This record gives sequence, C-alpha cells and structure tokens, in this order.
Amino acid sequence: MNLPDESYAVLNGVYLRKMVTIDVLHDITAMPADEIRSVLDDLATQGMAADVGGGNWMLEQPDGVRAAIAAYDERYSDLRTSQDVLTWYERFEVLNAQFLKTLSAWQTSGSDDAALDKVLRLVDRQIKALTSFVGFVPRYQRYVDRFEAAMEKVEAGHTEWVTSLTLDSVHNVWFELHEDILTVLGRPRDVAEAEHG
Amino acid sequence: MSATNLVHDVVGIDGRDVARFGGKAAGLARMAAMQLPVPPAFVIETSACVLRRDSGGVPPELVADVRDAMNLLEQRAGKSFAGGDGVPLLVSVRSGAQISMPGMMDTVLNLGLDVGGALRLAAACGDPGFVMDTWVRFWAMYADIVLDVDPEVLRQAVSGARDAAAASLTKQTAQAFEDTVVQHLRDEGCIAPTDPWDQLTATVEAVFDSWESRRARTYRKHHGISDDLGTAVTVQAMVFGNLGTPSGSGVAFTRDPATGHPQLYGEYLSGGQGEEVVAGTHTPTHLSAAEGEWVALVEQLTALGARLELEYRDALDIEFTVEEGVLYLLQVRPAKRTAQAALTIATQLVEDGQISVEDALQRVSIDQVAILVTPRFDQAEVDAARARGDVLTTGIAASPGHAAGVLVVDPDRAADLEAEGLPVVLVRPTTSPQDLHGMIAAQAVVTQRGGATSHAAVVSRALDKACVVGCEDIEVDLDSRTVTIGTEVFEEGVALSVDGATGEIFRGALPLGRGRDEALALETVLSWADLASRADVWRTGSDALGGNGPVTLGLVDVLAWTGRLEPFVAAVDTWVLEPSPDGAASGDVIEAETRKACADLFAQHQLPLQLRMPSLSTARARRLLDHWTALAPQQLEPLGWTGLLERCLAGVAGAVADAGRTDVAVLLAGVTTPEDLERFAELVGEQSSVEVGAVLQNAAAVFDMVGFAASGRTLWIDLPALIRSVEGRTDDLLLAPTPEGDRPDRGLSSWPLVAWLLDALPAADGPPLGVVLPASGGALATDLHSLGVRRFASSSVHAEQLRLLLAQHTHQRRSEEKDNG
Repeated sequence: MNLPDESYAVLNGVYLRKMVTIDVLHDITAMPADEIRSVLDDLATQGMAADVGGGNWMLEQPDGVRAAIAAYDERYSDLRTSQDVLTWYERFEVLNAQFLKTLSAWQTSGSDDAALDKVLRLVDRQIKALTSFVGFVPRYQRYVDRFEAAMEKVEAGHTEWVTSLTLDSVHNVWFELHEDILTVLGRPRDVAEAEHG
Repeated sequence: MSATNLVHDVVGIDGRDVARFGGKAAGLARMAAMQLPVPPAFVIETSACVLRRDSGGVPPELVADVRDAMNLLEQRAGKSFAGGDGVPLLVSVRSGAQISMPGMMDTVLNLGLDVGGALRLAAACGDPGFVMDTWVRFWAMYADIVLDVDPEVLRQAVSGARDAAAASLTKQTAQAFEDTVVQHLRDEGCIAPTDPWDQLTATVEAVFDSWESRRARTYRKHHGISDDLGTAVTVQAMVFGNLGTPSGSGVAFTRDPATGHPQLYGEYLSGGQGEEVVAGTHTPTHLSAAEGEWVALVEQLTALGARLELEYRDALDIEFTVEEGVLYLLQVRPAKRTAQAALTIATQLVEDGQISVEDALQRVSIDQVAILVTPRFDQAEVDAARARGDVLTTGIAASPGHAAGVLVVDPDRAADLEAEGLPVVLVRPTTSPQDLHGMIAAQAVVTQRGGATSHAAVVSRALDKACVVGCEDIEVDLDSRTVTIGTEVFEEGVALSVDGATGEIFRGALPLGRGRDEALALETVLSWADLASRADVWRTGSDALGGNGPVTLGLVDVLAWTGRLEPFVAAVDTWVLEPSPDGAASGDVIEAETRKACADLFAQHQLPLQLRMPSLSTARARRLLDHWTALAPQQLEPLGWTGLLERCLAGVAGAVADAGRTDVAVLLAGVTTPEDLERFAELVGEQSSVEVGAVLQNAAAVFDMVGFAASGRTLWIDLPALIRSVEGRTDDLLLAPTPEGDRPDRGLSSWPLVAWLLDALPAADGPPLGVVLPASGGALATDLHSLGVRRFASSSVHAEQLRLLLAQHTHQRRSEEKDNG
C-alpha cells in the first residue's frame, strides 16, 4: 500500500500520540484542519482509525497500527543500515539521556533558572542535530519548527511550555521525536528504554 | 587594584551593590565582610561587559588587570596558576548578573590544569584518578559552555585516554589525554587552547557573550530589563577536600530540612570532594558523629552557621570544604526544605524575633501550602502496614505523593475505570507517550523498569502525581492482566497504595487524611495571612463544611450534609403535584427538615454561615425533583414560589433563634433587580436576626451592581455562573485545574465579562462585596484584591492557598509602592 504523504503524516501523528485531537494533529503536521479531517475520514472508512468521542481519534487495532508501522518500513527500511543514520541515532541517545536527566533536575529544583538553561541548551543541540538529519527524513523539519515554537514560549517566560502535556511543549515534542526515530529504525520502544532509560 | 578600575578583589567591595558586581560577588563580599572564611576571589564588574560590547572586544588593559588579579589570587592561595612549582591554582569562573536569567553562561570549574599542572596536583594529593576526573570535568564544562560541544560525547571520546592516565599518570599519558581532547574538539570544529591563560580569557569572553545570547536578550526584552546592565564575572580560587589532613567536604543545614528542627544537620566526607558527597559514591559521616580533628571544625561550623542565620534571617544550606585543616565556606544559600519544615522554620523565626510576621508569610510558598493540605496516608496506618509486612516492594521514588487505587495494567482500562469514578494505580513495564491518557487518569503510576529520569518519572512529575519506578521485584504480564510481586500474583482490581516519596508499594488501600498538628500550624500562619491581606476567604461547594473558616453554601448542600435531603425533596415533589394554596402538609415537612438540618449544622459549625436559598431553575433541581416538569415557568423565578421560600426561611429562622446565632445570613440566588432583593428581605422580615443578601448570577444583575450595592446588603458575585452564561463556556471544563497543574486562570482577567467587571467594581460603593471564584482563580483574585475586593469564596481545596496568595500579593504591592516612592 502506498500512502500519500499527507495521509501518512496524519496516520503517523495518530500512531505516535495514540489518542489525539485534530488540533494536536495540526500542531504535528502543520496541515489545515479540514484536510486533516478528510484524511481521518478516509482512514476511518478503511477501518484504520476511529473517532472515539470527545474529538479524540485513535488507530484501530490491529489494522491501523499495522498500516502505520508498514508505512515506516516502506519509507525508511533503507535508512536502517546506513552508518550515518546509526551514528546520528547514537548521538540522539546521548542527547536523550542528558535531556531526561536535566529535565528531571529542573523539575525537582523548584524551577531553578540555571537548571532550565541546561534543558534549553540541550534542545538547542537537538535542533542543530535535527537540522543535519532532515536530509534523511525531510519531515523532521517539522520537529525543528515545533521545538523552536515551544522554545520561543519558554524564553518569553511561559515555562509551562517545557513539560505541559496539553501544549505542544518541548517535552511532548521530544518524546514524540524519540518514539518516531525508534520506529524509523524499526526498534521496539521497550528494548530501547531498557537500554537507555 | 586595577588600571581600568573594572577588576576588584571581593574583599572590600560594597556587597550591596549587586548592579555593579553581580549577585555572586556581592554575596562573597558580604561573607568576607563578616570575616567568614571564603576562598579568595575577584570580580570583573558589569560595566566591563557593556564596555566590551560597545568597543567590540576586550581592551588589553582589562586583560592586564585580570593577570594582576590572578597574581593576587596566587599569593592569597599559596598556589601558582599555569606553571611554576607546587600545588597548581585552579579557579572557577561564574557569570553574575543582577537578575538571573536563562541564556547566561553558568559555571566553569577547575580551570587551570595543563599537563604540568596535572602532574603537580597528583603529586600534592597522591590520587591520579581524582586529578584526571577533575581535568575531564573541566574539559566537559569548557566544551559545553565555552565551545558549545556536547560534553557527554567528549567524555565518551576521551574515556580511554582518561583511564590510561588515571592508571599511570606520567607526562606521556597526560599529554596523550590532552591531545585526545584537543583532537576531539577539532573534529567538532573547534580550536581549543591548552594554555590556562588562554582558557581563562576565552571563558571570560564566553560569559560576556552569553549576555548577548538570543535567549538572554529575549528574556530581557520580555521582562523589560535593560540590555545595558551587563553581567559581572567572578573568578574564585578552588579548594580541594583531598589535600593534606584534615581535609574533606560536606554540606550543612542550619536546621533539619525535613522537620525544621533548629540543629546543625548535615554530613561530611573526610578526604573527599563535594561531588562525591552528592553522588553518593562514598559514605559520609554525620556532623553529629564527628571525631578527632573534625570535632573542632564542626564546632567552628556550628558557630558560623548561627552567625549566618542571624545575618540572613533564614535557615541556610552551607557547602564547605576543608583543605589542609582550613575550613572554607563555598556557598551559603537559603536551604531547600519540605513543606512541613518551611512552616516550622517560618513560625520559629517569628517566635525567635528574627523575622516579622510579614516576612514569615514570604517563607512559605503557595505550592507548599498545596502540599500541606493534600491528603496523606495516616502515619500510624503506614507504620501498622509496615509492621504487618504489607510493603510489597520498594522501588525508586520518582515523584512524591500518596495515592491508593485499584491495580490496572492497561492505560485504556485505567481511563475507563477513572471515568467510572474508580481511583486507579497504573502499573506498567515502562511507559511511553502512548500511555499518557492512562497516566492522566491514574492516581499513581508504578513501573517495573526505568530510573528517576525515565518517561514515567518525568511525566508523573509534570502531572504532579505519585510515581515509583524501577520496581525490580515486579513482573507485569499484560496478557493475563496480572502483576507478580515476589512470588505473589495480583490480578487487576486489587487495591494498592503508593508512596511516591519513599518508593513503597503497600497492599490494600491506606486511608488518606490530614495531620492534626500540621493543620493547626498552618492555621496559625494563615491567620497572619488574613491579617496582612485584610481579606475574608469563605469556603463554598459541597466539601466546604469539612474545613474551618466561614462558609457560604446552598441550603440544599446543608440538607445533603445532614442526611435530610431526601424527605425535603419528597415534600417539594408532593407540593408540586398538589398545588394547594399553602401546601400545608408538605410545607410543614420542609420547614421542619430545614430547621433540623440547620440545628445539626450549628451544633457542629460555629463559624459565620451564609445560606443560599434553593433555586428551582438549576440543573440540580431538575435532577432531584421527579416532577420538575410540572412546575409552572414562573415558579422557576427567584421569587416565583414564595410559599416554598417562606417555609425554608422559617426553618432557618427557627434554628437560628434556637441556637442564638447572630452570624447567619440567607441569600437569594439569581436575582435581577435590587427590587427583587427588597421583596426577599420583606419575606425574611425585618425583625429577624438573620441577615439578608443576594448572589448575583446573571449579567443584568451585575450591570446594576451599583444599584444593588446601594441596598447596603450582603452581596456575592457568582463568577463561575456568570462565566457560564455570558461566555458560553462550561466552567468545569475551562476553569478546573488541568491534570498537569497548568494555570489556565492566567488569561481570565482579559475575558470580556471579567474585564468589564474589573472596570466597574470600584464604582460599587457599599458594604463588602464578595466574589465567588472559579476553581483556579488565583491570579484573578489578586487583581480583584488590588481593586479593593476583600471577600472571596473559593472551593475548599483552594481556600488555604488563596489566603496565603492574597497576603503575598499585598506584600508585593506594598513593596512596589515603596519602590515607586
């Protein structure tokens, strides 16, 4: 099955977030809401996604999830043996471990500015790293944009944009990226967390 | 000290001039002025930062002045920087702006090591492993902060060379290590100097550059801070806890940070560095168990701690190092403390006459009050559970909090059960973003794998939810929906209790409640808060009667609370179907039940009480009354069924007379005009000892606020009801605290109706006007307080936080007024 890019973007958004509203899908894909809705309706017709109430969409088990993973396989299986990609991923995990550590340090510091600064510097580094990676996965430019948007809020003093779960916060974007890169590489999440968590 | 007059020894500068010297140097100057033992330091003042920016580079005279200042540090410390003999001088370089802001360079430690310095330091301390760690630490910080190279990648790249040099430190292995570092940095696109003088200059420049970083500029722009303030640079000699005997490092608290008990508390590591104490790799000695030469040092520390407390008038955290038998204080700052300790310390400092009541109110945070009022496991129950062997396992405590619920292993089912009102403990192998909805629904999260920085830990802290991770004894089986702990198998649905602060998982549901002593201590502080803010915070809502403090609530809530709602509702229903002129039989029941309910309430509750009379137009009335649809439309008006209202009022009046109360008011909800209120007052009767008032719930009433105020009667503006009708939003959706504790009230003051209200309020002249606040209306409450509103009604769970918030707001306004002359 060959999904067009737009359908894939929406399908992947629902896959990564599991339960998601059209507003959040707009943050994720930057696509107009009505276009997202029409893709979701298509996916629903094919039995891959469903509106579960309250404006939330989920993938149908197992067809939707299978389709999402198959789309990854189809698009990215070539990358999985590329040494450049694997090296980049190793760096990602080094950054990821530091990010989690500094984020925890900030959360438990009582909002210390120096601790927050460390978090932000790591996001700067992640943005830089992503910029060098968009040649491999062009849609990762969207993560750069989302990180920059969230950072702009944080820098203006709205620190809820660091970890809030209801906003497109730095933390939400980072975790989604982590989930995404793991799936790009075809590695199950549990294994990665046991190694690095 | 200098040609430029921009570089100063911290001894002798004015410790109050934070603008010129930055916070760090000013703090050191204050300590030096008190003759406290601080390692020697100098500061490059903030104007150098501005000078450099405007002239496009560091002037050569400034470089020369820094050299002179370094020479003075060498003399003071008896060490030599970058060459020479004996122990090498290592320094820390820190930024120091008047206001701390993100984007500013933090700290570079251990600057001053090169190949020769590393060999000399190893000769002095006899520990090549320590020397190499110190050196790696320097390069990691220098890479991170000055060169913007990932420090962890650097550490990994040089670990082999580091290990070789630590095993056998020679000129060759040290040189090989340095070469590896330089090569790695070159691969990352950076030219890294190895001469400590060049490193020092580059670090100072990096501090100045960080003032101009995009992030710092954004912050300043957003907060209206001038770009011309600049940052200072503080350079301080490093001391080492592993040079000579006695030596060591530690941390001391002037009071116990867990309980607030006034006694020097802390620990030290003989012959060790501070980071080893923090890392927990070595077992330190408690200060109270000091032996040998340390006894005198601890006495010295105790005396210093007492002096410092008098100066800072707060409980302090003191980092110290002993080098060659000399005690140095590295850092002194207000100690981090538990909510319980914050309360104890604040009240004790007031008792000791060290701080005023106003100061004490700044020493406890709103978040700490939230913690103090959050229900916790009863300690006796916890002790009993431990004694019974009901601690099933202990994992890594990842996010504090106490919670009990039923075991669930699937996030979807967790969300379903929560929707049914069942508290849930979500137990997972690990969590991922795909489990979020389940985590939000759960009372507590437990994972089999992962550490304190795992996804589960980070998210739970963001959600402010109890979380225990890394429970190695637990085996989660998602297919069979069971969890095996040790040898015992638990199926979904069994009750568990989780303590996120200790990491314990208990069998069964431990009861949750509030400690009596803590509640009393909190009430003391909050009574000071009420005096400071001159505000009355009333409780409202169905749980208002659980706390202490004045209460405003519906008569229906009182009937429910006293178990008399059923006969009351039945009587109203009967009356609806048999509209006899006075509904004699039903009316008698209504009056009697009201009277008994109020009597029960008065017997248990001595505090001021305002009762909202039943309103038939509410969703609740529709739900309660079987025959609601049989009501005539005009009966739904506030004064549409006076017969019912009269019997309720008679019941209240009777109970008030029986109890001899003079602090009870009856309120009519939903009024539209001041004339309605006067008709209601006639029903109550002027002879009654019951006060009369109204709750304004619709826009028409609020538009005539001035007219209502002229009545001189008790008035409440019911903001949630107004927002619901005027803004067309449901208040529980928008205004209830969101799961992760975001504060959605931030923009409330800009909502059209609220903005109008804030404008119109000052015109309403009369007796105190109260405002019923939405669930998280903290910021709005401070806006209203600024306008002169002194009476608020808040949900019971937020009442305590609101009382402190209003006091802190009053204090802040006063200081601002003082600043503005």
